[in-house]
This record gives sequence, structure tokens and C-alpha cells, in this order.
Amino acid sequence: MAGPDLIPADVRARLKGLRLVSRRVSGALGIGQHHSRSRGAGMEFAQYRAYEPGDEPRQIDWKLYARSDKFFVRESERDSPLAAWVLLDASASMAQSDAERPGWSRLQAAKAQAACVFELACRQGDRFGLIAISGDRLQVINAGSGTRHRDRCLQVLSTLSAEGAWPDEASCRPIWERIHANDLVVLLSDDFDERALALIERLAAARREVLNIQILTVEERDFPFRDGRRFIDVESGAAVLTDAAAAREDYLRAFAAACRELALRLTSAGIRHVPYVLDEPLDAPLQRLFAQGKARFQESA
Amino acid sequence: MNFLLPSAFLALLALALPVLIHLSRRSQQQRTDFAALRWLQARFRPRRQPIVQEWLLLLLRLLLLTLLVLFLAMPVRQHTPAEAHWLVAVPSVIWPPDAELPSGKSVSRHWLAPGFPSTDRPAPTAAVPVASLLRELDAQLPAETRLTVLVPERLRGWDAERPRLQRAVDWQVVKGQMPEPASRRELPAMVLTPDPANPERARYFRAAYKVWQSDLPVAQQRDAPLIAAQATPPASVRIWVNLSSGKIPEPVRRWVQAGGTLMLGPDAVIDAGRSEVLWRAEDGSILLEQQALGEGRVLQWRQPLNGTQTPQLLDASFPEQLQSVLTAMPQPDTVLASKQQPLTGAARTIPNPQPLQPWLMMAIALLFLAERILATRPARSPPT
Repeated sequence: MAGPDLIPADVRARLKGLRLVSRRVSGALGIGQHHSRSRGAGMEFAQYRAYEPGDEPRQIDWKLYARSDKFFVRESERDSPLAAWVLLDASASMAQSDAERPGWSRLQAAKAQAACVFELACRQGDRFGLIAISGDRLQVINAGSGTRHRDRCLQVLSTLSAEGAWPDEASCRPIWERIHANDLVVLLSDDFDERALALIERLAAARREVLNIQILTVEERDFPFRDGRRFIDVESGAAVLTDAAAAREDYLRAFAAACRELALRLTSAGIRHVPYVLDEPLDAPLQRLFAQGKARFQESA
Repeated sequence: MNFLLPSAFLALLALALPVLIHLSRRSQQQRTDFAALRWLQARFRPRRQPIVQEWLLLLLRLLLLTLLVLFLAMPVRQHTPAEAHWLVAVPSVIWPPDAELPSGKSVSRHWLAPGFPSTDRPAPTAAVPVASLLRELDAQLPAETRLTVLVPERLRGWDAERPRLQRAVDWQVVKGQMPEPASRRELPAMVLTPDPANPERARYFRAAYKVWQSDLPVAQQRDAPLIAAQATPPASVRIWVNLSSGKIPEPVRRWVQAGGTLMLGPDAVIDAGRSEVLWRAEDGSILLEQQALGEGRVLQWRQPLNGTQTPQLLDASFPEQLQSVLTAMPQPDTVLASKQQPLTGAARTIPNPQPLQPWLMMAIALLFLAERILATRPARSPPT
């Protein structure tokens, strides 16, 4: 089974404190742990309304009746399930890894984080699905729930390999058909492709709750090279022959500026954006993304 | 330590190769996948001095190449004894007074005879090939050893070439008389087989045999000993004039192969190898042919053996000619010692060389292993 391989034991232990939370209310029917627009029985108080014939007597707020001599029915928000989608970028640039740690590529980290998201969603009883974007095509697993569905997603994850470039807009149309409004979308990508950014911006604008974990390599962050090298972009095939020591300072400045700009752009689009560098603990971005939800859960409990 | 092939040191030029390899900026050709390429700009920093990468590996490689060159040069170790002085004497010299000879602890005296025995032992009496022994001694002695040779005025056992030695020899000509070689005039040990059909053929050879003994008193002169055609001569006899006709039997062949000299009449048949003309008449006709057979030889007359058809048989010089063709002529080997001082300038030889190549081979193998381990260690990322 791919699951135990993808998530290390310590990370799995720390996942227990996390909850997948969407800031949007979910419209889906059913019983879940998320805020819902449909009201009914539930933990969170929503409103009072006048009694109508047919309401259950136990829903009547008897204390209010004692004060006002009228029947009021106390309504709560009904918790509803959430659909969580993992958009996994499996273009060729995701295969990049550090020379220090050759086996730990971006794609590997993305797979592990996707597995964590599935694990969380599965534990909460939410529906979840996977859309892997690789080699100019999409690999879609429809939203479902349960451990069997999780295992199916993990199995597909384990067969993924990084190739090709990000597909054009027309090929991305199935994404719109699958991901409904108010669904939670987690994009795992290096965010270097403009088309990927445009896609999540439009998803966010269309009332999807979009989260983004940008996966960077240590070499991209620190640029540890000191000698002359030929740097190659595997997706475009472009090459830059440079003396790394001379180019380092400018690169670091430009890259940091680009990262700040990206964070600003995504935040203004309503996308929660967390960078993750390959030498950080695997669950660090998840902790940052879902810590808020955890705190809120503890308050309301 | 000496080198049998010093020209191999030319290969030391190959030491430039690893230096050049390490000078080149190896990593510039190294491919690095880098997706954040758009923020990276091509920069070149001018380099004033060449940068040598990976000193340890370079040193190992230089050492490895040096050892390989040493290996090619075939080093040998040689035990160099303390400086020595050899005094060798041809066995028949009369020793001059000691004052005229080099003296000292390092001087050792030897006879110039096979094995170079010390002069403590009696002088060998057999004839010695002086020139050949000199060359042998010169090749055996280390280059530092000085050599003094005592020779008589008339030196025998010389050969056609003046010896060319590695060292300058102290060539002292002293008094002495080398033994005369065996006289050429000695009567050849010969047997004769007349042809029963033509008994008169044998008379020319009988007559020649008599002439060979002409300096003996008449009473001591003997007739040529006869032997039957089918018999085998005794081992002491090396010459057989066999005038019988027909095929030569196998035992006779074997006797020739053992080193005998067989002279046959014109109508005998023997199957030996290629024949060469040994004696040609003035008019060009072939008189006598010679074939090699084993260690011996077969001489066969090509002209009828009678005086009317072959006048050479009646010639006064026939006995002399016959003796010269039947017995090998001795080489001239006597020289005046004062005119034949050995020359110098022979190629240097190394006595008792002990090859060092096995040790070098082991060192090379170890170094190669170390070089490979260092060159393929994981920290040195392979060019992708």
C-alpha cells in the first residue's frame, strides 16, 4: 500500500492535530464537520424563527417561550461535508531535486502532501478527489469518500511521474466540470508556470476556496553553487551558462522579489499561499494552512 | 637502481594530461536542472590565474602516471659491490714483479679462463678463447670495477673482431708464450673403402695419404686403413672416403649425422639436403659437392675418378687440396697483443639485474584503486 510509504510516521502523528477547514460555507447536503448554508440541528446557533406546525416540539426554545409566551424554534447551522481537491502539478520541472538529497524531488514532496490531505479529509469524512496535471494531460479521480477511495487516490499518486509542461486552458476544462463552487482546492506546484497561477486565480474568483503550497528546492532558495555551470530548464529546454558565484547575488535578489510578488498577487486574489522548501518538515505548510482552523475548532468546542 | 629502457622516460610528457584536465573548468560542462531559470542571468567572472581543482586527485593521478612510466622504463636493482679491481692474466703469461702490478685490498687476481678461476689455483692448460672471455668478463663485471689484463706478446685465441668493451682496460703486454695449437700437418684419421668394381679409383687417395706422411721416416709411413662398405668406422675416425657405388646404408648415414665426414664416388646415391659446390675446376665444371647432413657432411665427386678424365687427381697439389677439403681449415687466431688493445664504447650491460616491476605493479594497482575511489566518491557529483 502506498499510504505508509508516502507519509512518514512522525508526520502522520502530527497530522492528528490538523483539520481541513474551508473559509467558505459549503452547500453540499449531508452530515459533516463544516459550516453549511442549510440550517437545521447542529452545534452552531443560527437564528430563531416562529413555530410552524410540523416542527418537533423538542426544537422549541422553552426558555424563550417562558419569557415571550410565544413558540420559537431554535435553528442551528447544519454542519455539512466538504469536497477537497488536490491539484497536483506533475510537469517536468517538478522532478527537480537537490544534489544533496537526490531522491527527494518536488514531485515526491507534493505526493506526500497530497497523501496528507487525503488522510485528513478521509478522517473527517469529507469527500476528496485528485487531479494530476502531467505531460499535457489530466489524470482525474472524482471526489469520493472513505478509505477505499483514499487508497485508490494513493495508488494513482504512486504511479505519477513528472513529465511535460502545464497544459493549455482548453485541456483544463475538466477541472471546471469537477470542482464545484465552495469546494476546497489545494494546488501543489512550484508556481513557476503562469498558466497554473491564472487557473487558480480564476478558480478563486469563481467561489472556490483555493490553497496553494509552493514547493521550492533548497538550491532555488539558497543557490549554493560556486562554480561555472550550465543551468537547464527541463520544460522549455532553455539553458544558461553562468558563473554561479558571480550570478548568485542578483539571482537571490530577483528570486526573493518574485516570491514576494507572487505571495502578494495570490493573497489579493484570495488564495492562501504557503511556500515550502524541500528541507522543511513535510507537514509545515499544512500546519500553517490549517492552524487557524484548528484554533477556531478549539474555541467553538 | 638502473633502467633497462631509459627512453621510456619520454612518456613523462604524459604528466601534462592530468594537469590540463584539472585546469579545465570541469563543472562548467556540468548540467544542472534548474526550473527557476528566468531569474538567473549569465555572468562571467574573468579569471586571472588558472584554478586547479581537486589537488588530491591531481596528485594521485600524477603519481600514478609517474609510476607507470617507471614501470615502462623497466627498472632493475643491482647489488653494487664496493669498488673492485680485477687483475686477469692469460694463463701462460710470466708474471712481472709485483711492483709493476696494481696492488691493494680491492685487487683480485684471476686467470682469463672459463669461470675466471682465482690465481691461487693452478693455471688452466687448455687453449682459451681470449677475446670471447674478455667480452664475457666485461659484461659480468659492474661498471665501476676496473680491469687490468696481462697478455703475452703473441696472443692466441683471438677472433676476427677486435673486442669492444664497456670500460677502458689497462692492457699490459708481458712476457709469455701461449701453447702452439695442434699442427695442421697432423695426419687426418681417415679410412678408405675401395670400389670392388673399380679398384683403381682408390689409388689417388692412397697416394695422397702417403704424401700426407711424407715428413715421417719411411719406416713409419703407413698405408691408408681400409674398411668394408657395410661396416661402421670406429668413433675415433672422422673421415671416410667411401668409393663404393649404390645407395648408402642407413648406419653410415647415422655415422655422418653424428659428425663424420663422408667422401663418396660419383655413382653413389645419398639423399641429403641442398648441395653446394666445394671445388670447381678451371674450366668451370664441378669437381666436388658438399651436403650438410646432421652435424656431419657428405662430399661427393661429380667427375669420374680417373686421371685421364679428371686431371686434377694427378695434379701435384691434389693431396694438399684433398686434405683441405676433408679437414676444416683452422681460423687465424694469433695477433700481436700490443696492436689489439680492446676498444671501448660497448652498450652498457647491467650484471645480475633484479627486476623491480612486480613491486611497481602492486603499487600501481593500489594507486589506481585509490584514484578510482576518490574519483567516484558520491560527493563528487557525476556530470549528468
